[in-house]
Amino acid sequence: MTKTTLTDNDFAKLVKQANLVLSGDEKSKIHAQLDEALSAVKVLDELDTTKVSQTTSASGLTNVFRDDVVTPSFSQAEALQNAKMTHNGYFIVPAIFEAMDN
Amino acid sequence: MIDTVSRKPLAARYSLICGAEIHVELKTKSKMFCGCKNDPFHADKPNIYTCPVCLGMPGALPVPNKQAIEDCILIGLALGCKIAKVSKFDRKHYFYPDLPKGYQISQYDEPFCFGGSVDTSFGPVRITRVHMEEDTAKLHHDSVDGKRVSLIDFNRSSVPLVEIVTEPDIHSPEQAKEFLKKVRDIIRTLGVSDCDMEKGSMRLEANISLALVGNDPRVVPPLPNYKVEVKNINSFRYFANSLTTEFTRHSEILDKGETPVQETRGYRSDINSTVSQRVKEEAADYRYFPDPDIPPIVISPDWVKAIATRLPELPSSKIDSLIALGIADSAAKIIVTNSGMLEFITQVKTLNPKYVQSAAKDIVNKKVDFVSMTPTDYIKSLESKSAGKITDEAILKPMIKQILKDNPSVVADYKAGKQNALGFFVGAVMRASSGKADAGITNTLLKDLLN
Amino acid sequence: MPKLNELTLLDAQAKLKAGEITSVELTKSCLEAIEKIEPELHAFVTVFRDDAMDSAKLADKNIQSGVWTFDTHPLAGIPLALKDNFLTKGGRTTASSKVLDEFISTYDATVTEKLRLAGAVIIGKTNMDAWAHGSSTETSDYGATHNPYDNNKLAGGSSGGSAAATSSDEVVAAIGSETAGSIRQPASWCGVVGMKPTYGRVSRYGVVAMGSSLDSPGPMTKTVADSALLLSIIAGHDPKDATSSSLPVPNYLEGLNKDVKGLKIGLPKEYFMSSSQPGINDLVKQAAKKLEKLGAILVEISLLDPKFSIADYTIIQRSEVSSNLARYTGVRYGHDRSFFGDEAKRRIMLGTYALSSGYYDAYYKKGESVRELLKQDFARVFESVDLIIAPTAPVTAMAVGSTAGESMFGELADVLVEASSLAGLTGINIPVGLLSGMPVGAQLIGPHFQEQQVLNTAYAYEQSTNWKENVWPTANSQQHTGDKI
Repeated sequence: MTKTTLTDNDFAKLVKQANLVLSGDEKSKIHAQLDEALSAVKVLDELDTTKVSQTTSASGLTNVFRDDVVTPSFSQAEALQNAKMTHNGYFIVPAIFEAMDN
Repeated sequence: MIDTVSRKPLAARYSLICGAEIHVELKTKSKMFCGCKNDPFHADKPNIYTCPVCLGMPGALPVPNKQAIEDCILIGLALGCKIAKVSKFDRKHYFYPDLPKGYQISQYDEPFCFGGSVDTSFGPVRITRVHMEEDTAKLHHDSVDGKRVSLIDFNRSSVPLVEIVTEPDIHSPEQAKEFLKKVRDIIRTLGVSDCDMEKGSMRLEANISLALVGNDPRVVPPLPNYKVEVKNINSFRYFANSLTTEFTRHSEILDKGETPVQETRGYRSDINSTVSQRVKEEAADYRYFPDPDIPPIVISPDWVKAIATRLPELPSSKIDSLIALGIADSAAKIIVTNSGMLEFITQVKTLNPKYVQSAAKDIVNKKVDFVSMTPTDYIKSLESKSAGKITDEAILKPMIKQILKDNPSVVADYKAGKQNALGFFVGAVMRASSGKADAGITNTLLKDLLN
Repeated sequence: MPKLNELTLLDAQAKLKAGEITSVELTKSCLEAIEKIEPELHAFVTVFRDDAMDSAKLADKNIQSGVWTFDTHPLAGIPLALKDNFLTKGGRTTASSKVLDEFISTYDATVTEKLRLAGAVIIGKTNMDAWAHGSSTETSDYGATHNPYDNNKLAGGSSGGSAAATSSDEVVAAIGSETAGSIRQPASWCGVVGMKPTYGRVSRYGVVAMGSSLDSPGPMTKTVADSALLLSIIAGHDPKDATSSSLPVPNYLEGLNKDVKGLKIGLPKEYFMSSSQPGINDLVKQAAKKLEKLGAILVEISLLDPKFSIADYTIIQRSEVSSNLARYTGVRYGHDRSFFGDEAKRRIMLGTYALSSGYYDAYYKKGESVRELLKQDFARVFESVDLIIAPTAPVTAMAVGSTAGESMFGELADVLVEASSLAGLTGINIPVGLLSGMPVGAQLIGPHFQEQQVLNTAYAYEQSTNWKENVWPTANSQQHTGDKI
C-alpha cells in the first residue's frame, strides 16, 4: 500500500471529487481522521493475496435479468413529490454553464 | 486530403488520425435497469416514465434488461466483434444533475464485445469495443423568474445505450461518412435502433489528432501525444466537416511547432468550426468498480449462437439479392435501408415473383403505401388492373374484324407501311371494348388479321 | 397476564386468533409504552400513531369477519417497528439523517410490502446511526438511543432503535438491518434475539443502501421462535433485487427443533480476545457448555485474526458507501450534501480515496482479495464444524457520549462480526447473561443459507434456560419462555 497520510493538496482534490463542502475546522479534523483510517487499514499489507482473485460477487449468482416488459411508472406528481423546486413538471437546478450536450 | 467544403487540397505533410465514439439508443420496450417505458422522444410530458430505479431514489436497485444485452451482443456480432465469455457492469462516478445516482452504470474493463472490424473502401476501421450503459436524463436550459436554470426530465434516464468505440483508423472525411453510414445501416437492419440523429437515438463524437507523414506513404505514422475530443456533431456531414476543420486548425498549430491543446470542443455548424468547451487537464477519475448490485454475466457459446440466429443478411449482400431479381441498383440501395420495404418485396416475391420489379418501382416512387397495404392486396390491385380484361379471341376477333371493315383507308395506310396505323386500331379496339381489351392479345390479333 | 405490549409475537398471535385480545388493544398498549418510555429511550424517529390505529382497526375487522386468517395473514394486527432505512410508502424515511429529514417515501421496500401483506401494523420507524454508519446510534442526527437496561448507556447500532424498542416492549418485534454487526451487536447490548440472515436471503429493495454487497435485513425479536416466524415472512427471492436468492424459504418456525445432538460447534480462539471486557468470554463459554450438555460437540478452531477483518471491512464498506451516497444532492429529494453529518463525510472521503485512480489496486482491489481469503477461511472451518459460537461484542453497552467523535468506533466495535458479514454468512445473537446488570450476547454463525440450523441451536439454548436462573432477562424483568406454540 502506498500512503498513510495525504498532502493538503491531495486532500483538497479528494474533497472536490467527493462533492463535499467542508469548513476550515472540518477540513483539518477530517484530514487527520482520514490519515488515521489509512494507517489502520495498512495492516492488510501483511496478507499475501497473490494467489487469490477478487471476490467476483457477494451473492454468488450470475446472469440475473429481467424480461423486456413495461411495468407501471410513477405519476409525474409522485416523481416530483419530494423535490424542493420544480417547474412545469421538471426538476430544477441553477443553470449549468458547461452544457454537455448529449 | 481534400477539404469537403472548399474542395481544395489540405496540407500533405500531416495525416489525419480519427477514432469515432458512437452511442446508439436501443428501442427495447422498457428501460435498461427498470420496467419504465422506453420512449423518451414521444413522451408528451416530462417525468412520466420514471420509477425509484431510474430516478435514483434511496433503496432502489437495478436489474438488467436481457433483451438489451442481447441486442448489444447482436450489434457486436454484426460489427465482427468477439464476444466476452464473462462480463459485468461497473459504476462510473461523476456528479452532474442528469445523472441521478451520481454514477452511471456502464462497463469498464470487461465489455460485452471487443475486437471487431468494419470494412470501408478506404480500408478497415477496427472496432475496439461495444458495450452497454444507461442513458442520462435530459437537461435543457430556461429562465424561470428571471433566473437561468436547467430543467431536468428523467424520461430518458436509464434508457439502454450501446457505445461503439473505434480504433483511430479513420483517415479522411470520406472514409468517416462511409463508415458511419455503414454502421447505421447495419444497426437499422438489425432492427434494434432507429439510429435517428435528429431524435438522438444515434450520437457521434470524434477523437482527432494529426501526425507527421513520413516520406514513405506505407509507413504508418507514430501515434501523436495529444487528442482532441469533438462533440455536438449532429449529422454525418458535420462529422466529416469537423474532421476537415480540425485538420486545418491542428495543421496551423503544428506548423508553429506547438501541440494542439488536449480538450473537448463542440462543433458549430453555423461557423463550420469547433469551439473549445473545456480543457481536459487530466483524464477524469471515474472511480470505476464492479457494481455490487448486479451479478456478473456469463455468456455461453450456446447463448451467442442463439443471438446470432437473429443476424440478418447484411446490407451489401441484400443489395446483390435484389439486383438478381431484376430490380434496379438504385432502387435496391433504397430498399435495403428500410426493413418495411424489404419485407414487402420479399413477400411479393414469395406470392408471385413476376410482380417484384413493379413492386420495387412503385415503392421507391412512392406509388404504393407499403406500410398500410399488404403485399397480397398490392398484387390483387395489379391483377385487377388487368382483371376484367377481355382475352377471349372469340370476342375480340369479330370486334377487330368490324373495326377493320369500318376503316378501309387506315387499313390501306398500314399496308402502305404506316406502322402507327396499328396504334389507331388498338385505340379503336380499346374504345369499342370500354378499355377492357387485353392490349397484348389485341396487338397480336390485329397483326394477324391485317396480314 | 403481562401487559399486552410485553407479549411475544407468537403469544400475541395466539391471543388474537383466540379472540382474547384485539389489535386495537395491543396497538394501544404499545403506543402507551412508547409515549411513556420514549422521552428517555429515543428509540423512534417517527411514530405513525394515527396510521397504526387505522391499521389496527382494519385488522380487527378482517380478523373478526374471517377475511383474514392467521394462515393467510400471520402477522394480522401485530404492531411492528421498522428501522428508519426501510422505505414505507406515504411515511417519512430518514435513515436518521437530516439530509432526508423531510423525505416521504413514494414506494414501499419489499420487506415493508411483505409485512403489510401479512397484516402487520407498522407502528413507526426506529432510530439508527445515520445512514447505518455506526455501532451505537450516536451518529444519528436525531440523538442517540439509550439502553433499556440503563438509561445512561447506549443501545448499540446501527439498529439501536429496533433493538431498544423490542427490548423495552415498545413493540412486539422489529426489523433491523446488518452490514457488519448492525443487528447482532445492538441485540447483544439490549438483550434481544437479533438474526442476521445470509446475504441475499432477504431483499434489499427499498432499504437505503449502505454496503451493497453486505446489507442484510433481519428480524429483532424477544424470542427465537418469533425470529423464525418473522424470517419466513420477510425472506425470499425478489425480482427487483438482482442479488436476492432464489432458494426456497423454509417454514423456519415449523422446522424449529431443539435437537443439537452431534452438532459440532467451533469456538474460534481468536474471538475470545483478552482485550474483551472481563466476564464476557466466560459467559459465552458457559453458554457453549450448556449446548454441550444438550449433546453438541465443542471443537476449538482457529480463524484469521479479526484485526484483518476490521481493515478489510473499513475499505470495502466505505468504498460502497461513498458510491451509494453519491445520489444525495438535494435535486430530486432531500437536502443537499452540506446536511451530511461528520461520520458520513469521513466515510465518503475514505471510500472515494480507496476507489480513486492510482489507489484502487492497493485499497479496493486488495480489499476484495482479502475478502476472498476470509471466505475461504470460513469454508475451511465449516468442513469440520457445523456452527461457530463466539461473543458478539467485546464490551457491553457503553456510556452515552463515549463513542461520539471516535473516527473508527463503528468498525472497531464490530471486530467480532465483520468477518462473517464479509463472507455473507448468517448469524444470530442470543442473550446469555448479565454483567453488572448489562446484557451479554453470544453469536452463532452458520454457513450460507443454514438459518434453520442457526435458529435451532439458538432455540435449544433458549429453551434450556430456566428463568429462575435469570439468564434470559428483559429490561422489564419479565421472563419470556419463548416456547413454540
